[in-house]
Amino acid sequence: MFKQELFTKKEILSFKLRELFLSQGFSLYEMNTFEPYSFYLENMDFLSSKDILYFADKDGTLMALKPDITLSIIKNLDTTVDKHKLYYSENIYRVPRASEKFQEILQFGVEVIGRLSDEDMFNLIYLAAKSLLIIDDNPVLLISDNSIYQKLIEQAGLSKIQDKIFTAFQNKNLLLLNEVLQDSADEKYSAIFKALLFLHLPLDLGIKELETILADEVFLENIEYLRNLYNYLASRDLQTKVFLDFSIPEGLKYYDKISFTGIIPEVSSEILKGGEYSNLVRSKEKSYQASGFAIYLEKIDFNGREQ
Amino acid sequence: MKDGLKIALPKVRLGNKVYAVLSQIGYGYDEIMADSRKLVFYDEAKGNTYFLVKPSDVATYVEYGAADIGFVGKDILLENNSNVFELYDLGIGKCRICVAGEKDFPYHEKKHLKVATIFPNISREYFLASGKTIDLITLHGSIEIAPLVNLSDVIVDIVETGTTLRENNLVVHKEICPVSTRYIANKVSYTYKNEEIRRIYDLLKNLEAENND
Repeated sequence: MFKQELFTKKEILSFKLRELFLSQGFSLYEMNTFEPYSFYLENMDFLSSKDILYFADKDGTLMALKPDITLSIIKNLDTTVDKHKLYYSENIYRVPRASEKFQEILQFGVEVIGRLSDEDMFNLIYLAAKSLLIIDDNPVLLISDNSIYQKLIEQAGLSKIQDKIFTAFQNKNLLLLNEVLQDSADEKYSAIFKALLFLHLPLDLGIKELETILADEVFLENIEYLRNLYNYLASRDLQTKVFLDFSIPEGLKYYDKISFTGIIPEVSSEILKGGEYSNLVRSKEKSYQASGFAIYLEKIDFNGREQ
Repeated sequence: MKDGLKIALPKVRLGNKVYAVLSQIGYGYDEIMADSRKLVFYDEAKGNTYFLVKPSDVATYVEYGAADIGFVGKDILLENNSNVFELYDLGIGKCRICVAGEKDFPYHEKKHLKVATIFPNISREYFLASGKTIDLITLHGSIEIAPLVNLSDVIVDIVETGTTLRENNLVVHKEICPVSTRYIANKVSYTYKNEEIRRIYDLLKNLEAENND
Protein backbone atom coordinates (compact mmCIF):
# COMPACT_ATOMS: atom_id res chain seq x y z
CA MET A 1 0.00 0.00 0.00
CA PHE A 2 1.05 3.62 -0.52
CA LYS A 3 2.28 5.55 2.50
CA GLN A 4 -0.19 8.04 3.95
CA GLU A 5 2.39 10.87 3.61
CA LEU A 6 2.02 10.63 -0.19
CA PHE A 7 -1.53 11.95 -0.04
CA THR A 8 -2.82 15.43 0.71
CA LYS A 9 -5.29 15.96 3.55
CA LYS A 10 -8.00 16.62 0.98
CA GLU A 11 -7.25 13.35 -0.83
CA ILE A 12 -7.35 11.36 2.40
CA LEU A 13 -10.71 12.90 3.28
CA SER A 14 -11.97 12.08 -0.22
CA PHE A 15 -10.90 8.45 0.16
CA LYS A 16 -12.67 8.17 3.51
CA LEU A 17 -15.88 9.54 2.01
CA ARG A 18 -15.64 7.14 -0.94
CA GLU A 19 -15.07 4.27 1.48
CA LEU A 20 -18.25 5.26 3.34
CA PHE A 21 -20.34 5.53 0.15
CA LEU A 22 -19.08 2.18 -1.15
CA SER A 23 -19.79 0.50 2.20
CA GLN A 24 -23.42 1.63 1.90
CA GLY A 25 -23.81 0.10 -1.58
CA PHE A 26 -23.32 3.23 -3.70
CA SER A 27 -21.37 2.97 -6.95
CA LEU A 28 -19.25 5.59 -8.70
CA TYR A 29 -20.88 7.70 -11.41
CA GLU A 30 -18.42 9.19 -13.88
CA MET A 31 -19.36 12.00 -16.20
CA ASN A 32 -17.00 11.98 -19.14
CA THR A 33 -18.99 14.12 -21.61
CA PHE A 34 -20.49 17.60 -21.65
CA GLU A 35 -24.13 18.63 -21.85
CA PRO A 36 -25.49 21.25 -24.29
CA TYR A 37 -25.69 24.74 -22.84
CA SER A 38 -29.41 24.79 -23.68
CA PHE A 39 -29.97 21.84 -21.30
CA TYR A 40 -28.87 23.93 -18.32
CA LEU A 41 -30.84 26.98 -19.52
CA GLU A 42 -34.02 24.85 -19.55
CA ASN A 43 -33.29 23.72 -15.98
CA MET A 44 -32.04 27.03 -14.58
CA ASP A 45 -34.45 26.83 -11.61
CA PHE A 46 -32.55 23.83 -10.34
CA LEU A 47 -29.09 25.39 -10.46
CA SER A 48 -27.75 27.23 -7.42
CA SER A 49 -25.68 29.58 -9.60
CA LYS A 50 -26.89 31.18 -12.84
CA ASP A 51 -23.35 31.52 -14.20
CA ILE A 52 -22.43 28.87 -16.76
CA LEU A 53 -19.20 28.55 -18.73
CA TYR A 54 -19.95 27.57 -22.32
CA PHE A 55 -17.96 26.72 -25.41
CA ALA A 56 -18.60 25.75 -29.05
CA ASP A 57 -18.10 22.07 -29.80
CA LYS A 58 -16.50 20.94 -33.09
CA ASP A 59 -19.89 20.83 -34.83
CA GLY A 60 -20.79 24.30 -33.58
CA THR A 61 -23.17 23.16 -30.80
CA LEU A 62 -22.96 25.36 -27.73
CA MET A 63 -21.89 23.12 -24.84
CA ALA A 64 -21.35 23.84 -21.13
CA LEU A 65 -18.62 23.03 -18.65
CA LYS A 66 -20.44 21.22 -15.84
CA PRO A 67 -22.11 23.62 -13.39
CA ASP A 68 -23.91 20.68 -11.76
CA ILE A 69 -23.86 16.89 -11.84
CA THR A 70 -27.34 15.87 -10.60
CA LEU A 71 -29.17 17.17 -13.69
CA SER A 72 -26.94 15.06 -15.96
CA ILE A 73 -27.44 11.98 -13.82
CA ILE A 74 -31.21 12.37 -14.15
CA LYS A 75 -31.03 13.06 -17.88
CA ASN A 76 -29.00 9.92 -18.52
CA LEU A 77 -30.91 7.59 -16.16
CA ASP A 78 -31.78 4.06 -17.20
CA THR A 79 -35.42 4.00 -16.08
CA THR A 80 -35.72 0.22 -16.37
CA VAL A 81 -33.62 -0.06 -13.23
CA ASP A 82 -35.55 -0.09 -9.96
CA LYS A 83 -33.07 1.80 -7.83
CA HIS A 84 -29.91 3.78 -8.58
CA LYS A 85 -27.48 4.37 -5.73
CA LEU A 86 -24.74 6.61 -7.07
CA TYR A 87 -21.94 8.81 -5.82
CA TYR A 88 -19.70 11.11 -7.80
CA SER A 89 -16.51 13.04 -7.36
CA GLU A 90 -16.33 15.54 -10.21
CA ASN A 91 -15.01 18.99 -10.96
CA ILE A 92 -17.71 21.56 -11.51
CA TYR A 93 -17.37 25.16 -12.73
CA ARG A 94 -19.11 27.92 -10.80
CA VAL A 95 -18.65 31.46 -9.55
CA PRO A 96 -18.62 31.14 -5.75
CA ARG A 97 -20.43 33.87 -3.83
CA ALA A 98 -17.21 35.48 -2.59
CA SER A 99 -15.61 35.46 -6.03
CA GLU A 100 -15.98 37.44 -9.23
CA LYS A 101 -14.48 34.68 -11.35
CA PHE A 102 -15.24 31.09 -12.27
CA GLN A 103 -13.53 28.42 -10.24
CA GLU A 104 -12.98 24.71 -10.72
CA ILE A 105 -14.49 23.05 -7.67
CA LEU A 106 -14.24 19.39 -6.67
CA GLN A 107 -17.75 18.34 -5.68
CA PHE A 108 -18.71 15.14 -3.94
CA GLY A 109 -22.28 14.04 -4.25
CA VAL A 110 -24.56 11.13 -3.50
CA GLU A 111 -27.88 10.35 -5.16
CA VAL A 112 -30.49 7.66 -4.60
CA ILE A 113 -33.05 7.58 -7.42
CA GLY A 114 -35.77 5.10 -8.31
CA ARG A 115 -38.79 3.39 -6.83
CA LEU A 116 -37.85 4.17 -3.26
CA SER A 117 -39.10 3.45 0.24
CA ASP A 118 -39.04 5.88 3.15
CA GLU A 119 -36.13 3.85 4.47
CA ASP A 120 -34.11 4.68 1.33
CA MET A 121 -34.74 8.36 1.97
CA PHE A 122 -33.80 8.07 5.65
CA ASN A 123 -30.65 6.12 4.78
CA LEU A 124 -29.49 8.96 2.56
CA ILE A 125 -29.91 11.47 5.40
CA TYR A 126 -28.05 9.06 7.69
CA LEU A 127 -25.27 8.93 5.10
CA ALA A 128 -25.14 12.75 5.01
CA ALA A 129 -24.79 12.80 8.81
CA LYS A 130 -22.07 10.12 8.71
CA SER A 131 -20.21 12.05 5.98
CA LEU A 132 -20.16 15.11 8.20
CA LEU A 133 -18.61 13.05 11.01
CA ILE A 134 -15.77 12.09 8.68
CA ILE A 135 -15.14 15.79 8.02
CA ASP A 136 -15.40 17.07 11.61
CA ASP A 137 -15.88 15.88 15.21
CA ASN A 138 -18.71 18.28 15.99
CA PRO A 139 -21.01 18.61 12.98
CA VAL A 140 -24.67 19.55 12.93
CA LEU A 141 -27.25 18.52 10.35
CA LEU A 142 -30.15 20.97 10.02
CA ILE A 143 -33.36 19.50 8.65
CA SER A 144 -36.39 21.21 7.17
CA ASP A 145 -39.55 20.01 5.43
CA ASN A 146 -40.30 22.13 2.36
CA SER A 147 -43.64 20.39 1.80
CA ILE A 148 -44.87 21.92 5.07
CA TYR A 149 -44.17 25.37 3.60
CA GLN A 150 -45.95 24.46 0.41
CA LYS A 151 -49.02 23.15 2.24
CA LEU A 152 -49.17 26.22 4.46
CA ILE A 153 -48.77 28.61 1.55
CA GLU A 154 -51.45 26.78 -0.42
CA GLN A 155 -53.89 26.65 2.53
CA ALA A 156 -53.37 30.31 3.38
CA GLY A 157 -53.63 31.35 -0.30
CA LEU A 158 -50.22 33.06 -0.22
CA SER A 159 -48.65 31.68 -3.38
CA LYS A 160 -48.20 35.20 -4.82
CA ILE A 161 -45.93 36.22 -1.96
CA GLN A 162 -44.26 32.88 -1.29
CA ASP A 163 -40.82 34.10 -2.42
CA LYS A 164 -40.95 36.93 0.12
CA ILE A 165 -42.04 34.54 2.87
CA PHE A 166 -39.18 32.26 1.96
CA THR A 167 -36.70 35.15 2.04
CA ALA A 168 -37.93 36.02 5.54
CA PHE A 169 -37.35 32.40 6.59
CA GLN A 170 -33.90 32.21 5.02
CA ASN A 171 -32.85 35.25 7.08
CA LYS A 172 -34.94 34.51 10.20
CA ASN A 173 -36.27 38.00 9.62
CA LEU A 174 -39.41 38.44 11.73
CA LEU A 175 -39.74 42.07 10.69
CA LEU A 176 -39.93 41.15 7.01
CA LEU A 177 -42.30 38.25 7.75
CA ASN A 178 -44.64 40.61 9.64
CA GLU A 179 -44.55 43.10 6.75
CA VAL A 180 -45.27 40.41 4.18
CA LEU A 181 -48.09 38.78 6.13
CA GLN A 182 -49.64 41.98 7.46
CA ASP A 183 -52.27 42.41 4.76
CA SER A 184 -52.20 38.95 3.23
CA ALA A 185 -52.61 36.28 5.88
CA ASP A 186 -55.20 35.75 8.60
CA GLU A 187 -54.12 35.52 12.24
CA LYS A 188 -54.06 31.74 12.34
CA TYR A 189 -51.52 31.39 9.52
CA SER A 190 -49.49 34.39 10.65
CA ALA A 191 -49.07 32.74 14.05
CA ILE A 192 -47.96 29.46 12.44
CA PHE A 193 -45.41 31.10 10.15
CA LYS A 194 -44.00 33.14 13.04
CA ALA A 195 -43.69 30.08 15.27
CA LEU A 196 -41.86 28.19 12.51
CA LEU A 197 -39.49 31.08 11.79
CA PHE A 198 -37.48 30.70 15.01
CA LEU A 199 -37.87 26.94 15.40
CA HIS A 200 -34.38 25.60 16.07
CA LEU A 201 -34.39 22.48 18.23
CA PRO A 202 -32.90 18.99 18.34
CA LEU A 203 -34.98 16.84 15.99
CA ASP A 204 -36.98 15.00 18.68
CA LEU A 205 -37.88 18.20 20.55
CA GLY A 206 -38.47 19.99 17.27
CA ILE A 207 -41.02 17.38 16.21
CA LYS A 208 -42.89 17.79 19.51
CA GLU A 209 -42.92 21.57 19.01
CA LEU A 210 -44.10 21.08 15.43
CA GLU A 211 -47.02 18.99 16.71
CA THR A 212 -48.26 21.95 18.73
CA ILE A 213 -47.65 24.50 15.95
CA LEU A 214 -49.29 22.44 13.20
CA ALA A 215 -52.51 21.16 14.71
CA ASP A 216 -54.28 20.68 11.37
CA GLU A 217 -54.59 17.02 10.38
CA VAL A 218 -53.21 17.78 6.93
CA PHE A 219 -49.76 17.94 8.57
CA LEU A 220 -50.04 14.60 10.40
CA GLU A 221 -48.34 12.86 7.49
CA ASN A 222 -45.37 15.27 7.66
CA ILE A 223 -44.99 14.86 11.40
CA GLU A 224 -45.23 11.09 11.14
CA TYR A 225 -42.54 11.11 8.43
CA LEU A 226 -40.22 13.22 10.58
CA ARG A 227 -40.87 10.98 13.59
CA ASN A 228 -39.98 7.91 11.54
CA LEU A 229 -36.83 9.67 10.35
CA TYR A 230 -35.89 10.45 13.95
CA ASN A 231 -36.45 6.81 14.99
CA TYR A 232 -34.33 5.62 12.06
CA LEU A 233 -31.43 7.91 13.00
CA ALA A 234 -31.77 7.28 16.75
CA SER A 235 -31.58 3.51 16.27
CA ARG A 236 -28.18 3.87 14.56
CA ASP A 237 -26.20 5.46 17.38
CA LEU A 238 -25.51 8.53 15.27
CA GLN A 239 -23.03 10.99 16.83
CA THR A 240 -24.03 13.91 14.57
CA LYS A 241 -26.40 16.40 16.16
CA VAL A 242 -29.58 16.76 14.11
CA PHE A 243 -31.72 19.89 14.44
CA LEU A 244 -35.05 20.91 13.00
CA ASP A 245 -34.79 24.40 11.50
CA PHE A 246 -36.85 25.97 8.73
CA SER A 247 -34.30 28.48 7.49
CA ILE A 248 -32.74 26.16 4.92
CA PRO A 249 -30.95 28.12 2.20
CA GLU A 250 -32.72 28.19 -1.21
CA GLY A 251 -34.17 25.11 -2.86
CA LEU A 252 -37.96 25.48 -2.51
CA LYS A 253 -38.31 24.77 -6.22
CA TYR A 254 -35.73 22.01 -6.16
CA TYR A 255 -36.30 20.16 -2.91
CA ASP A 256 -39.96 19.26 -2.59
CA LYS A 257 -39.94 17.47 0.75
CA ILE A 258 -37.12 17.10 3.28
CA SER A 259 -34.13 19.35 2.71
CA PHE A 260 -31.03 19.51 4.87
CA THR A 261 -27.73 21.31 5.32
CA GLY A 262 -24.62 20.26 7.18
CA ILE A 263 -22.41 22.65 9.09
CA ILE A 264 -19.14 22.39 11.03
CA PRO A 265 -17.69 24.96 13.45
CA GLU A 266 -14.64 25.90 11.35
CA VAL A 267 -16.58 26.84 8.18
CA SER A 268 -18.85 29.90 8.18
CA SER A 269 -21.45 28.53 5.76
CA GLU A 270 -22.96 25.14 4.95
CA ILE A 271 -20.52 22.43 3.88
CA LEU A 272 -23.18 19.92 2.82
CA LYS A 273 -26.54 20.50 1.18
CA GLY A 274 -29.20 18.13 -0.01
CA GLY A 275 -32.76 16.93 0.04
CA GLU A 276 -35.55 15.07 -1.68
CA TYR A 277 -36.23 16.20 -5.26
CA SER A 278 -38.83 13.72 -6.50
CA ASN A 279 -40.73 16.30 -8.61
CA LEU A 280 -37.66 16.85 -10.76
CA VAL A 281 -37.02 13.16 -11.37
CA ARG A 282 -40.72 12.43 -12.08
CA SER A 283 -40.38 14.42 -15.30
CA LYS A 284 -38.12 11.55 -16.38
CA GLU A 285 -40.00 8.60 -14.84
CA LYS A 286 -43.31 8.99 -13.03
CA SER A 287 -42.79 6.15 -10.59
CA TYR A 288 -39.40 7.49 -9.45
CA GLN A 289 -38.45 9.42 -6.35
CA ALA A 290 -35.07 10.92 -5.60
CA SER A 291 -32.89 12.30 -2.86
CA GLY A 292 -29.27 13.40 -2.79
CA PHE A 293 -26.66 15.69 -1.33
CA ALA A 294 -23.46 17.45 -2.29
CA ILE A 295 -20.39 18.14 -0.16
CA TYR A 296 -18.31 21.30 -0.67
CA LEU A 297 -14.79 20.31 0.36
CA GLU A 298 -13.36 23.52 -1.13
CA LYS A 299 -14.71 25.41 1.87
CA ILE A 300 -12.34 23.61 4.26
CA ASP A 301 -8.97 25.21 4.99
CA PHE A 302 -6.89 22.03 4.80
CA ASN A 303 -3.65 23.90 5.59
CA GLY A 304 -4.90 24.65 9.09
CA ARG A 305 -5.81 21.01 9.80
CA GLU A 306 -3.95 18.18 11.44
CA GLN A 307 -3.07 15.32 9.07
CA MET B 1 -9.42 32.43 26.55
CA LYS B 2 -13.15 31.75 26.84
CA ASP B 3 -14.99 30.93 23.63
CA GLY B 4 -17.51 33.75 23.94
CA LEU B 5 -19.16 35.77 21.21
CA LYS B 6 -17.21 37.70 18.58
CA ILE B 7 -19.14 40.93 18.10
CA ALA B 8 -18.66 43.32 15.14
CA LEU B 9 -19.57 46.91 16.01
CA PRO B 10 -19.73 49.85 13.63
CA LYS B 11 -17.25 52.63 14.30
CA VAL B 12 -18.22 56.30 14.70
CA ARG B 13 -21.67 57.77 15.28
CA LEU B 14 -23.85 54.69 14.83
CA GLY B 15 -21.38 52.71 16.95
CA ASN B 16 -21.99 54.99 19.94
CA LYS B 17 -25.74 54.43 19.73
CA VAL B 18 -25.31 50.67 19.39
CA TYR B 19 -22.85 50.63 22.26
CA ALA B 20 -25.36 52.46 24.47
CA VAL B 21 -27.93 49.73 23.75
CA LEU B 22 -25.41 46.96 24.41
CA SER B 23 -24.51 48.56 27.75
CA GLN B 24 -28.17 48.63 28.73
CA ILE B 25 -28.56 44.90 28.11
CA GLY B 26 -25.36 44.00 29.98
CA TYR B 27 -23.05 43.57 27.00
CA GLY B 28 -21.08 46.79 27.44
CA TYR B 29 -17.30 46.94 27.80
CA ASP B 30 -16.06 50.34 28.96
CA GLU B 31 -12.71 50.23 27.16
CA ILE B 32 -14.49 50.38 23.80
CA MET B 33 -15.63 53.94 24.44
CA ALA B 34 -12.23 55.09 25.74
CA ASP B 35 -10.48 57.42 23.35
CA SER B 36 -8.00 55.07 21.74
CA ARG B 37 -7.12 53.69 18.34
CA LYS B 38 -7.60 50.10 19.41
CA LEU B 39 -9.95 48.15 17.17
CA VAL B 40 -10.14 44.79 18.98
CA PHE B 41 -11.21 44.43 22.60
CA TYR B 42 -11.38 41.25 24.67
CA ASP B 43 -13.68 41.21 27.68
CA GLU B 44 -11.93 38.64 29.84
CA ALA B 45 -14.73 38.41 32.38
CA LYS B 46 -17.39 37.48 29.83
CA GLY B 47 -15.14 35.99 27.16
CA ASN B 48 -16.55 38.19 24.41
CA THR B 49 -14.42 39.86 21.75
CA TYR B 50 -15.47 43.15 20.15
CA PHE B 51 -14.26 44.39 16.75
CA LEU B 52 -14.71 48.01 15.72
CA VAL B 53 -15.07 48.02 11.94
CA LYS B 54 -16.26 50.33 9.19
CA PRO B 55 -20.11 50.28 9.28
CA SER B 56 -20.29 49.03 5.69
CA ASP B 57 -18.04 46.06 6.59
CA VAL B 58 -19.95 44.75 9.62
CA ALA B 59 -22.13 42.37 7.58
CA THR B 60 -19.07 41.02 5.75
CA TYR B 61 -17.33 40.17 9.04
CA VAL B 62 -20.46 38.34 10.18
CA GLU B 63 -21.27 36.57 6.91
CA TYR B 64 -17.76 35.11 6.65
CA GLY B 65 -17.67 34.09 10.30
CA ALA B 66 -14.94 36.46 11.57
CA ALA B 67 -17.68 37.73 13.90
CA ASP B 68 -20.62 35.72 15.27
CA ILE B 69 -22.95 38.69 15.51
CA GLY B 70 -23.00 42.33 14.49
CA PHE B 71 -25.04 45.51 14.35
CA VAL B 72 -25.53 47.04 10.93
CA GLY B 73 -27.77 49.37 8.94
CA LYS B 74 -30.44 47.81 6.74
CA ASP B 75 -29.00 49.79 3.79
CA ILE B 76 -25.77 47.77 4.01
CA LEU B 77 -27.66 44.47 4.19
CA LEU B 78 -29.71 45.38 1.12
CA GLU B 79 -26.76 46.67 -0.87
CA ASN B 80 -24.56 43.63 -0.17
CA ASN B 81 -27.42 41.11 -0.26
CA SER B 82 -25.77 39.75 2.89
CA ASN B 83 -26.27 36.08 3.68
CA VAL B 84 -26.85 36.44 7.43
CA PHE B 85 -29.71 36.03 9.89
CA GLU B 86 -31.39 39.39 10.41
CA LEU B 87 -32.77 38.86 13.89
CA TYR B 88 -33.94 42.16 15.28
CA ASP B 89 -34.58 45.81 14.45
CA LEU B 90 -32.99 47.99 17.13
CA GLY B 91 -34.99 50.97 15.90
CA ILE B 92 -31.97 53.27 16.06
CA GLY B 93 -30.21 55.13 13.25
CA LYS B 94 -33.58 55.53 11.53
CA CYS B 95 -33.49 57.09 8.07
CA ARG B 96 -34.68 56.44 4.50
CA ILE B 97 -33.09 55.53 1.19
CA CYS B 98 -34.51 58.03 -1.30
CA VAL B 99 -34.31 59.20 -4.86
CA ALA B 100 -33.54 62.94 -4.70
CA GLY B 101 -32.83 65.67 -7.21
CA GLU B 102 -33.42 69.30 -8.04
CA LYS B 103 -36.94 70.54 -7.28
CA ASP B 104 -37.81 71.29 -10.88
CA PHE B 105 -36.49 68.05 -12.32
CA PRO B 106 -39.41 66.17 -13.97
CA TYR B 107 -38.60 62.86 -12.25
CA HIS B 108 -41.94 61.16 -12.85
CA GLU B 109 -42.01 61.99 -16.57
CA LYS B 110 -38.50 60.69 -17.30
CA LYS B 111 -38.15 57.13 -18.57
CA HIS B 112 -34.35 57.19 -18.61
CA LEU B 113 -32.23 58.63 -15.80
CA LYS B 114 -28.61 59.26 -14.93
CA VAL B 115 -28.36 58.11 -11.30
CA ALA B 116 -25.45 58.83 -8.96
CA THR B 117 -25.29 56.73 -5.80
CA ILE B 118 -23.26 54.90 -3.22
CA PHE B 119 -25.86 52.08 -3.49
CA PRO B 120 -25.52 50.67 -7.03
CA ASN B 121 -27.27 47.37 -6.28
CA ILE B 122 -30.24 48.91 -4.46
CA SER B 123 -30.59 51.50 -7.26
CA ARG B 124 -30.37 48.93 -10.06
CA GLU B 125 -33.03 46.74 -8.45
CA TYR B 126 -35.34 49.64 -7.63
CA PHE B 127 -35.33 51.24 -11.09
CA LEU B 128 -35.62 47.85 -12.80
CA ALA B 129 -38.81 47.20 -10.81
CA SER B 130 -40.14 50.71 -11.44
CA GLY B 131 -39.72 50.41 -15.22
CA LYS B 132 -37.16 53.18 -15.71
CA THR B 133 -33.83 52.58 -17.45
CA ILE B 134 -30.75 54.13 -15.89
CA ASP B 135 -27.11 55.02 -16.38
CA LEU B 136 -25.51 54.23 -13.04
CA ILE B 137 -22.70 56.37 -11.65
CA THR B 138 -21.18 54.95 -8.48
CA LEU B 139 -19.69 57.51 -6.10
CA HIS B 140 -18.23 57.13 -2.62
CA GLY B 141 -19.42 60.30 -0.88
CA SER B 142 -20.74 63.90 -1.26
CA ILE B 143 -23.42 62.51 -3.57
CA GLU B 144 -25.51 65.69 -3.29
CA ILE B 145 -23.14 67.52 -5.64
CA ALA B 146 -23.85 65.19 -8.57
CA PRO B 147 -27.13 66.78 -9.84
CA LEU B 148 -25.81 70.29 -9.15
CA VAL B 149 -22.85 69.86 -11.51
CA ASN B 150 -24.84 67.85 -14.11
CA LEU B 151 -23.04 64.62 -13.31
CA SER B 152 -26.43 62.97 -12.81
CA ASP B 153 -30.18 63.70 -13.03
CA VAL B 154 -30.89 62.31 -9.57
CA ILE B 155 -29.16 60.66 -6.64
CA VAL B 156 -30.03 57.64 -4.52
CA ASP B 157 -28.84 58.27 -1.00
CA ILE B 158 -29.60 58.00 2.70
CA VAL B 159 -31.84 60.79 3.99
CA GLU B 160 -32.08 61.28 7.74
CA THR B 161 -33.47 64.76 8.48
CA GLY B 162 -33.26 66.16 4.94
CA THR B 163 -31.06 69.09 6.03
CA THR B 164 -28.18 68.24 3.66
CA LEU B 165 -30.63 67.96 0.76
CA ARG B 166 -32.25 71.30 1.61
CA GLU B 167 -28.91 73.05 1.95
CA ASN B 168 -28.03 71.87 -1.54
CA ASN B 169 -31.43 72.80 -3.02
CA LEU B 170 -32.46 69.19 -3.53
CA VAL B 171 -35.77 67.46 -2.72
CA VAL B 172 -36.90 63.88 -2.26
CA HIS B 173 -38.65 62.60 -5.40
CA LYS B 174 -39.33 59.08 -4.15
CA GLU B 175 -38.72 57.06 -0.99
CA ILE B 176 -37.27 53.60 -1.73
CA CYS B 177 -37.28 52.08 1.76
CA PRO B 178 -36.85 52.87 5.46
CA VAL B 179 -33.58 51.99 7.14
CA SER B 180 -32.58 51.27 10.73
CA THR B 181 -29.98 49.26 12.64
CA ARG B 182 -30.34 45.48 12.67
CA TYR B 183 -28.97 42.79 14.97
CA ILE B 184 -27.48 40.12 12.68
CA ALA B 185 -25.90 36.71 13.21
CA ASN B 186 -23.73 34.35 11.20
CA LYS B 187 -25.82 31.35 10.12
CA VAL B 188 -23.38 28.75 11.46
CA SER B 189 -22.74 30.63 14.72
CA TYR B 190 -26.51 30.73 15.22
CA THR B 191 -26.39 26.97 15.80
CA TYR B 192 -23.10 26.66 17.67
CA LYS B 193 -23.67 29.72 19.91
CA ASN B 194 -27.45 29.64 19.89
CA GLU B 195 -28.02 30.23 23.59
CA GLU B 196 -25.98 33.47 23.70
CA ILE B 197 -27.32 34.78 20.38
CA ARG B 198 -30.92 34.12 21.42
CA ARG B 199 -30.23 35.65 24.84
CA ILE B 200 -29.22 38.94 23.22
CA TYR B 201 -32.36 38.77 21.05
CA ASP B 202 -34.53 38.33 24.15
CA LEU B 203 -32.73 41.13 26.01
CA LEU B 204 -33.19 43.52 23.08
CA LYS B 205 -36.88 42.64 22.93
CA ASN B 206 -37.29 43.19 26.67
CA LEU B 207 -35.47 46.50 26.46
CA GLU B 208 -37.82 47.68 23.73
CA ALA B 209 -40.82 46.60 25.81
CA GLU B 210 -39.47 48.48 28.87
CA ASN B 211 -38.85 51.61 26.80
CA ASN B 212 -42.39 51.45 25.43
CA ASP B 213 -43.96 51.14 28.88
